[in-house]
Amino acid sequence: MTQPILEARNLRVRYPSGTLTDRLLGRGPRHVTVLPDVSLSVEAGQTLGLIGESGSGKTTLGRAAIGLAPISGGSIRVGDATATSEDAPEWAGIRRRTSMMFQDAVASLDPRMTLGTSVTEPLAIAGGFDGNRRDKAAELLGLVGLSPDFADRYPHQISGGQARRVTVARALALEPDLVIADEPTAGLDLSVQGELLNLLGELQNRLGVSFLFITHNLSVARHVTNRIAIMYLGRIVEEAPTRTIFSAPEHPYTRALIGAREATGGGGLIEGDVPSLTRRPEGCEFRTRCPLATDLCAAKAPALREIAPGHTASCHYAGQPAGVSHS
Amino acid sequence: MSAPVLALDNVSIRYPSAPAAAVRNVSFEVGTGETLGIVGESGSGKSTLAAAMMGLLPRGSCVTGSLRFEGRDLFGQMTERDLRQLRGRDIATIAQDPFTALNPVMKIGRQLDIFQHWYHDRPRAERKARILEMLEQVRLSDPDVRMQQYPHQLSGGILQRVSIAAALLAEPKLLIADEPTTALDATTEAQILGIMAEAKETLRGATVFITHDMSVVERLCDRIAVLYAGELVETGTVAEVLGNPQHPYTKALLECDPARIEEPTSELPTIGGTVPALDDRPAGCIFEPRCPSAVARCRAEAPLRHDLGPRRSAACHLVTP
Repeated sequence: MTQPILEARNLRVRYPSGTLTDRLLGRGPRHVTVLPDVSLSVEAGQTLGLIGESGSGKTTLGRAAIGLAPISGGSIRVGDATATSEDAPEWAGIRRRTSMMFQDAVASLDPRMTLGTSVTEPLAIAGGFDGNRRDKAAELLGLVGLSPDFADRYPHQISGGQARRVTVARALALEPDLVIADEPTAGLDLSVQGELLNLLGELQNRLGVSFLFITHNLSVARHVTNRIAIMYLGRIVEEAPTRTIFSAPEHPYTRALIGAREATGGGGLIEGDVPSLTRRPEGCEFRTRCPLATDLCAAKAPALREIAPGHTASCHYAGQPAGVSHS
Repeated sequence: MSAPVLALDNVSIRYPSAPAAAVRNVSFEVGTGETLGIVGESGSGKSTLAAAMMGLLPRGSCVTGSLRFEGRDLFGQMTERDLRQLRGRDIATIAQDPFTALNPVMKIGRQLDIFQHWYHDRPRAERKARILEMLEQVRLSDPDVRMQQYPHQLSGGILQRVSIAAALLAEPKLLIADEPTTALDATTEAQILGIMAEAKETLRGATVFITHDMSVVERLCDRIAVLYAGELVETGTVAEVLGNPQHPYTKALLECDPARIEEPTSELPTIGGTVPALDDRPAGCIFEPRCPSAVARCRAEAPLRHDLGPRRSAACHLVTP
């Protein structure tokens, strides 16, 4: 297999926390660690789904992959460039091959710029483009199924679904190897959501783009991803090929997420809320909500380990046949 | 069915200075003990209908037809004072966003006490006992502690439980829940839907559940009304409509739901085109420009409601009873 296009290694992201006074007086923790230690890779031409609930750190991981989050440990590699901090000089090169689709498509378009200017702005920033920007705008908009006259419109004149398409066009302007798509279907109606997903799939087939697909929607991820990584409290708790995640999930949290989308409910329902990032539980961080938790889980944090080739999970009881007594 | 709690007859609603009506000729009924799911995508008019049921349409909105709550027309005979007396006692709501639904500067316990102000003859101790009972019913841990907390100290899932408890405290005859799980995470949503299903047992009145999510309707509702671009396209029991959809829009919408597609596919079904703009409605059937089975008649003539059985109908020329 060729080298993965994106590789995060032992990535740590933390944000400063507390008031200035607290920090000066040395009171309380000075940082909130959103991603304690994340490793993940996206294979060229493939789509990795990053799944988690709000606060799980999936957006932070996506942003860190393009240098938009403070990296305090570990590294990000895209192609042959490796960055170990958010102000590393390598980012300029990485950002020419990577682009981002932000969660709020309408807000990510400058309200005072025509859509034509917006979609070709990456070319102006990257430099080295000497063609006609109007023609290029028409070409990019055509790629996502919008007519050239959209180039003269402003964001407030288009629908949410059209705004999504414009952000896809902008993401493709530099012919990137990797697109980070943060909740690309959020806020879209069911009847147009499929259109956008099909478009991303078609562009992948045609241009060979890889996607890091961030979503909370497992039903969508099931159709459009090759592999899935499940995040909980800033850690990847399970990663496997998409089919395996659904047919043989090993982590109790993955099972709960799959159970929660069943129409009948019931199966694997978990109680309680996600703990606060500043008060991570000792031992296994999922044990406060886990139906299988034992003393071992309180005493020792499980490592992310390989259960089967290409399938990792961080649970002491992963890989055991179902129904085994844990006492 | 006994006399309906809520009955809409040919309701059309036009906002002040809007080019056309946002809701057109909608009729349905909800009976005691029933839960009706109103399903629609953006622009379908579902939130407009919710506002109308609460008597909360903006001043100057033009309403035709009748919207009766226990036989009284909310628009014909009621003054603002009458409406205020209905809301919060006979008609309670659960809002979409639990973070803005509660007062940020008042403790939870005090707010829940105020929600019972229509029952002012209730002694203080009894009001408190009722709050604790409700908080337990929505499976909130440490209700005593929660009552001393402010909304910003609580998570969305807990706040939504508080909102449900507040609505139940009013012992409403009509409960309107407007996308109560849309802002929540999947595992929290599953918990809240479980609590709503339990609450249905204790609630003596009718419930209207507004959502864009068919699986929520499937889990919680008895009956369903499918709206498209301000019109009611199909209605019936959940089993009838989801099991045997008759209107092409209902069929297409169900086909588009990735959760309903058994085998993973890279080519997801979609409905081509977009919802027509308010000032650009087709002359014939509202769904004709996007309908895969449209015929010439659909373009020329708007379909009437075809009755397909008791309280089951679809508005489509191609539907035959």
